[in-house]
Amino acid sequence: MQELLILDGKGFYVWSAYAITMISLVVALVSASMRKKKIIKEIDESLEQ
Amino acid sequence: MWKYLHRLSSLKYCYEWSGKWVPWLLGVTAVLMLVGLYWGLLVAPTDYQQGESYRIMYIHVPSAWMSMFVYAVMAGAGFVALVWKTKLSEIIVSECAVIGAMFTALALITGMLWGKPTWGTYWLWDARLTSELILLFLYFGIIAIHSVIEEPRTAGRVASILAIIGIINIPIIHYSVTWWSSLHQPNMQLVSKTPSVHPSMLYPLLVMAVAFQMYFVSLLFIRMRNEILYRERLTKWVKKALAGH
Repeated sequence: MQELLILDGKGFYVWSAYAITMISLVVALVSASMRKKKIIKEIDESLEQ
Repeated sequence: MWKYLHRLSSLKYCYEWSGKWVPWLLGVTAVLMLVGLYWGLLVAPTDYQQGESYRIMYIHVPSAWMSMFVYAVMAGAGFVALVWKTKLSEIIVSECAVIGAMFTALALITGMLWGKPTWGTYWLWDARLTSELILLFLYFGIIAIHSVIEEPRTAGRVASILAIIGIINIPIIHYSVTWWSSLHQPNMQLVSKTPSVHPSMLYPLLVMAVAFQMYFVSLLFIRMRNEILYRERLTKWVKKALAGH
């Protein structure tokens, strides 16, 4: 496990690159899904008025 | 054919059919991404020259490919928006700009993290890196147009023009390593009798490339559906579609 984290002394670069990419991809998906809820809420509120 | 394309460009129809595809696309993306990550990080052999740092390739190369592919899709949609004036293609232009900017930023950041252990520096004003940075600014320009111009149809037309003009940067990025002397490695020869990457390293890369493609389509559909919902919020079909929620 330690070998996998250190990756021949290049673990910082490799794991940082993977972490930044995966977090960005997930955040982009989640924020797009949350925007839909916000739009639906706005439409619902305008209909109630 | 034309009848089908005309139907496809209807916002209502697009909202309905894309909604059916999203869960499947997300499922395929998740499976391919997990397989690609496992294969690339744990199974693929260590590179004899670069050691373990080459594993950044499995996210850097698909991000860089997608940064150019998304731009080509955006420019194509921009052309359709200018010629046929369809709302859907204007929406595709605006949503591709955000997704493309993300892929371009990821390509640059992961490239910097790969560059440090390989070249000894995070950044240099190399033709490939600089042209990729210009691509990011082109995406930012299109995002800025949509933020500054309030009327969506006008913003769509102006953004489409910029997207078409900016397409000139794509061949420059691709051939930059051939036209100018560069520290960046040459383009991969994938379709050849002697591919430049060994199959044990190539297959996980291809899996990740397909996963990124699927991710792009999923995210584009989700963002397109949001924008359609917002633009059409006063129409009967949206109110009817939301009544079921």
